[in-house]
Amino acid sequence: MQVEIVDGWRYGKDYSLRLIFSAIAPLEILPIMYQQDGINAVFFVNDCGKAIKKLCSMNLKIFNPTGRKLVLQIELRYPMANDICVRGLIGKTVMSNMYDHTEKILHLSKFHKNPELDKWMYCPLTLKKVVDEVIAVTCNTLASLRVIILSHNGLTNLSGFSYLAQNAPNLRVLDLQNNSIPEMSSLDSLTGLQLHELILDGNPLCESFENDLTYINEVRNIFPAIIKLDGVPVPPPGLPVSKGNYVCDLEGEVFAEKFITYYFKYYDGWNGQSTRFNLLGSYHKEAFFSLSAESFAAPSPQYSGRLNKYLFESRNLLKMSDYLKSNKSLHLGRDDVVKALSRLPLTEHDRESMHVDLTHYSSTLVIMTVRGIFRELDVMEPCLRSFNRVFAFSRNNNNYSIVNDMLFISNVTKEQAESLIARFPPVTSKPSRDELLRQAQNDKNFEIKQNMVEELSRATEMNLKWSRKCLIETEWDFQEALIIFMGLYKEGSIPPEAFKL
Amino acid sequence: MDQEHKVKIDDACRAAEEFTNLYYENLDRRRHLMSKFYLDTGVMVWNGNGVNGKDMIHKLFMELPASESNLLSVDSHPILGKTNCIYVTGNDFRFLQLIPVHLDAAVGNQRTVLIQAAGFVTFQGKAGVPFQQNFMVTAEGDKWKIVSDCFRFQEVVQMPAESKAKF
Repeated sequence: MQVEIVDGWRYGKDYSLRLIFSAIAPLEILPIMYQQDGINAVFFVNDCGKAIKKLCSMNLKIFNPTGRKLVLQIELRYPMANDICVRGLIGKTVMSNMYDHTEKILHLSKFHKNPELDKWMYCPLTLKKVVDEVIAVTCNTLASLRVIILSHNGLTNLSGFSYLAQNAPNLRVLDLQNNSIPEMSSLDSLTGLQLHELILDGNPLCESFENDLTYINEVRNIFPAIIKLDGVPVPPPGLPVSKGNYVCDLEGEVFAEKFITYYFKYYDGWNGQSTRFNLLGSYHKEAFFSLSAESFAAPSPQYSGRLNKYLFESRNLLKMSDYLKSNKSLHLGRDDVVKALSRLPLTEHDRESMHVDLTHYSSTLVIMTVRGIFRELDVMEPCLRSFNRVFAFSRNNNNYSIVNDMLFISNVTKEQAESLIARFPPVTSKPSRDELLRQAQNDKNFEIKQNMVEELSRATEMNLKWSRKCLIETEWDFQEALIIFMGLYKEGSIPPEAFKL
Repeated sequence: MDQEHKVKIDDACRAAEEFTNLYYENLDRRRHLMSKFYLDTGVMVWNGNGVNGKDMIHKLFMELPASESNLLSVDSHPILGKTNCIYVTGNDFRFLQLIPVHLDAAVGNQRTVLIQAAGFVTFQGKAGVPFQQNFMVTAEGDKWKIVSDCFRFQEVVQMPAESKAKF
């Protein structure tokens, strides 16, 4: 039987055939040898009397939501190459091109776009007929099948694949990426599969979940053995999904952001040994600092350099026979603290994987944990470390000073190393001596000026902005700035906004 | 280091060891008692998930799968009460005044200690993983109670593309 779509070139193959499919659903046709014939499109169909009858009952006109109705003409004709065996072609293509015998993977991504099939017929996996054929031909391999890739097939449900649920006991990975699955219940027909990995990304159903946890739970209801979802390991039931930064207070978030930027600017880099002294002002005069280091079992073999550099300083109380000994590795007072910091290896912290948990933020006390990965700069091999650092700040309005700083260092896990090594650019070689000196000078001036601004602000109670203004006008002469301030203050000519915080 | 500091540091060390021993033993064996370690207003942040108050903390612990923790490192500091130095402005002159400040509303002037713990933990259904945990604990009678608690696996947290880290 030959079907002709009047003006078919206008709509394109996919669009016009899908319109016909939806018009005759649940009946199906399998279009063969689709081709352009002038401005019309022509294809053949076999064994589909009911579908043709239904088309006739619609007067061969099909509703088209985006334009004019689709008009068909049907003639009793046979294709020239009438020896094509449709069944044979699908079966042959699947087994020879789409099944990986060694890895037991069935690659059915963009199924009907397979060039072999596309040349002769239009056979999307949305047709039950087609799915049935695929299942029939792979029947003997299903028992050992491990992976099915079904991405980009426009699937709206998986009822056609329900045979798998009972007959593919070793199927562990199912890729359904970029289909049109509307809701989780569309997967019910697959209940029974012992899937470990599922990819649902790019389906409308993903939009309907408020949070990861309900999404994971619904998937788990159908596939209880799931381990990885959309490429991300899912926690076992009861374990909450790990999240990024935790911030207990929005005002605190602003502070945390500023602090982290400021702190690691001076802590990191080739000049660390001197720039870390700039952090003096961030510490309280009675600040405590200590570090502890411990390596774990099962580290990444490649980046697991030994922690010797830290161990001699390590204040792990579990390894101390006597607490008095622990005092040696506890630094008290900011001078002692920054001295200790400047002796630690030069570092570069990865800001992208860094997590900040602000767990306490009151008017007098702030507790913040920073966690992440850094690398050591002055070593030949790439040397990654995992760290967890907790800071306690005493707070008085907008003045914060670190009162406690505890740093824990361990080797990175294999997973951490792999996540980072791909995007961490290689260590640039150590800058020249002149360059370093220049940088140090700039940083030093910056720090001195910042200290002067803060000092003037403290003495006059003007805010930082106005204190800076005043110092710029006197070309950073502190005495001069104070004298001018006193003069203006007596006159009462300093605007009130200068004292606003 | 003066005598007063020494006493406080020693106190913090003792507190840390006793506290962590009890804490991880209860975590692995007596989950239902875990919320007793927290102040009524305590905060627990578990891999970025924040939970406030004893009841919610109890619920979180009861839902966690069975665990086996192995503590490998503990460190601790006392958090000292401070005196703050402020400028008081008079008419024409200003002078310095030292005022003692409360450490924090949550802990008053109680002895307060910061603890950093690290180890290896296996939760049922999940491969063993290193973890780090920090506590701020404060003395309540003869018990140490958690004001805030921050737990994280040493793992790579997959972040949705739109919520890239801010820091």
